Amino acid sequence: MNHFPEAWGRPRNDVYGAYDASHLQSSMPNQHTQSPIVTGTSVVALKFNGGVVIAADNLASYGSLARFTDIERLKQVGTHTVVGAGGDISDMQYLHEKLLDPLIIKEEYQNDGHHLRASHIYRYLSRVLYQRRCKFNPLWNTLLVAGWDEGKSFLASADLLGTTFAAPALATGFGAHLAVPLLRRVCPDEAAVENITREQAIAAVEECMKVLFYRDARSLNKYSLAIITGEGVESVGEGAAKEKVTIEWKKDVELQNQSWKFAEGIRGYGAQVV
Amino acid sequence: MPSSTSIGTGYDLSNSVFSPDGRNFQVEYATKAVENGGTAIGIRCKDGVVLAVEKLIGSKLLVPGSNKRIASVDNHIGIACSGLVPDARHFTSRARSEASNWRKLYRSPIPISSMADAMGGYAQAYTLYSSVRPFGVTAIIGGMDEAGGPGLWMVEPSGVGWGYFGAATGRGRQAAKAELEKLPLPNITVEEAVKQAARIIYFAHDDNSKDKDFELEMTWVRLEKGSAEELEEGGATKGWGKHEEVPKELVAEAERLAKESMEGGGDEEMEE
Amino acid sequence: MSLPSMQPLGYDQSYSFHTPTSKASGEYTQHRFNPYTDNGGTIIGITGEDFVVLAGDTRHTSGYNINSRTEKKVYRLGEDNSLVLATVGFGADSKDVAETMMRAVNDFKFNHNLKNMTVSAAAQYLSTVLYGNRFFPKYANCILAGLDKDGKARLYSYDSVGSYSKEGESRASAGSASSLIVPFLDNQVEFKNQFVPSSKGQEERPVVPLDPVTVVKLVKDAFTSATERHIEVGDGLQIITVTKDGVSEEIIDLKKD
Repeated sequence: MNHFPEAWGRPRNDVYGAYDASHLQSSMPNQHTQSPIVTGTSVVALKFNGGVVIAADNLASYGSLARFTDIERLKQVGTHTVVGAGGDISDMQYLHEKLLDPLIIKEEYQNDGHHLRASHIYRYLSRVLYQRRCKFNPLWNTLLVAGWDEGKSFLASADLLGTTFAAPALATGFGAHLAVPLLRRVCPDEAAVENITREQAIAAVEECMKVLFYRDARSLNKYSLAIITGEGVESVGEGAAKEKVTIEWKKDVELQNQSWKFAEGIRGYGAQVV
Repeated sequence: MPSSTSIGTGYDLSNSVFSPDGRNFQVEYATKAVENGGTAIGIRCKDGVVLAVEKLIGSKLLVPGSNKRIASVDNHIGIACSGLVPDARHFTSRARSEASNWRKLYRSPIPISSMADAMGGYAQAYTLYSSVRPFGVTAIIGGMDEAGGPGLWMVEPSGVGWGYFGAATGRGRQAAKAELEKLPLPNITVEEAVKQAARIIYFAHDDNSKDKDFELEMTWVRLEKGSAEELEEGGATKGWGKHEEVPKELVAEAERLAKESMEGGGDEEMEE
Repeated sequence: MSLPSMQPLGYDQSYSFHTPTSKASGEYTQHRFNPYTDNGGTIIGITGEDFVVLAGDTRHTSGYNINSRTEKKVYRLGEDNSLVLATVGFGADSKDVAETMMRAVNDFKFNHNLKNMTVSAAAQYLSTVLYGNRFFPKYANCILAGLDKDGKARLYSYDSVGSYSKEGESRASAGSASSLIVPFLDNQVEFKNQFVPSSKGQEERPVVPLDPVTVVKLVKDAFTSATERHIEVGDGLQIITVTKDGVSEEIIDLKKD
């Protein structure tokens, strides 16, 4: 009996000559990611007094082709956190399914009332992204991590290079150019956060999604929005701190009150005569 | 148990050797180890499952609430063990791998029956080879899945695994089984089962290891509040449950009632 | 290398944050993952006799975008010592180097009977860390400072592969506006090109150690000026002062335009 499974079912060498095994291994070297394939565009997020609001549209593009129009790019991770992803969709799915989901399940094994909070998830993701860039095999994403942590709202960004930063108003991709200036008008700095209501924050983010749809050719008029709100830190003895965190979802939201009036003024394209 | 005539005949020394009358003595010795363990029970309800363990406390120096005997192996499955604690740790660790691998393969949580199958197969493999010994553990696997609703299984050192409405193992199993049989299972709610489980553990303790200290450890598997998958069918709730510790207040109340019933029971015995 | 004028010849579009494209032999253009970027910002370190000041702006940029106005660049390497480290360059590498140093200083303490690493030991260790990545460098420009066992101020600056001067320096600057700031510090800290007035330009002004108030003033002047002239500098200024009495931090506003 031959104990090498790869030899089973093949012509006998002594009868047919040596087996040509060249097709068994690829002639190409191992390849690492050099560019994203199916991509999502901006993620937009803003802090307000008592929480954070985060939004991302439902489009996944294949180059300039609007390939999938029902992709969810915001995902709840654990009890305190929502992660929004721009960039490569398969890398995003890898992050969630292969890394974050098992991470959360393992955290719950302990059953000790401790849960991974937004800062923990953020730190974990940042290190994964940085380690992958150091291996020259990046996960091609820009992530926003929004949540509630130790009595405060949490919002921070991490990208495929491992670059990390935090601010009260953040947006990735095209939104970094178009949405951030709009959001900073509402919220110039951390001190301004306490004067922003939940409704104002939602309105500001919805306005950003609209402007992005007008000007970002890789965006969609259908998006998801998550509102993370927290209620302080209530002490429950034994040194454990318990926070009441609520995550409200608005999925498949259609853009409202669009105005394409400006389009009438555009000259120089199409069939119109001056 | 091997009869006194068969002990020392040599057939009880190896796993891979049958005795002439067709028994595997190593498995029977493993069962013996379980029979000395603290009582563990599981109750299958119409809306979930309750697991309870009588954790015998060997020393007053141990921190109360430490060294848990019921493990979470996935969001929706808990395993309560009786017998050798290190064996139980390894057994649950394997169950966690099974659950995680299932998710990787099928992108869904593992059904309770499949988990019981896998763990039965795993335990059975340890009855076949001379280089290993069977698990000195009987595990009660409780969970709740989308297709079958609440599920309760008990896997023994032999690898046998049956589904139950009420399961009991450990030194107080006889008393516990007698009590479980009196319940209208599975037609009770998780809340009712919590009280019954506490009472049964106290009862079984009183019956078998009165002189030892113990802690009551209880978990349940039920749908999370506001869970989307809830559907009623033939009276049973279905959906992916959440395995977690029974809230402290509920345990305290159940223990109070259990102690009350013990005092009542004690009086009766006095009268007899 | 973040402004067009500062790019070496040969690059057509010329920002450090652009993926360089190179023509492979033949007609194909090869695109490649570029593991670096420049997140802007500037740091300064100035010593006095028995104190040292380390400062950095708090702007974090990607190209023309301001990512955040509140990212700090100066780190304390422990709670109970005088070691401070400022890093600038590629944000991810900079933070990684800083965290590596924090961990090393902490580990050293537990491995050496709760004695803290001396500033000269930390300086050598940082060099080892950076040179350890010689063939995939951490794009982080570092300034390390602290007080030695005699209470004297020590300051070391590094290039991205770890070369540094064991003797230390009196002042240093790194980052995008360092070319604007270094000549200013030459003049104001080392008194370069200053002469004794009566000597008709014959006698150089003698170098004397500065006092903390003057140093902090110099730092603020350097940053307000750099903010005016460099787009990647601004928003906030973090100043950490180390004296024998402890370490203090001050954060003041810079222009946000």
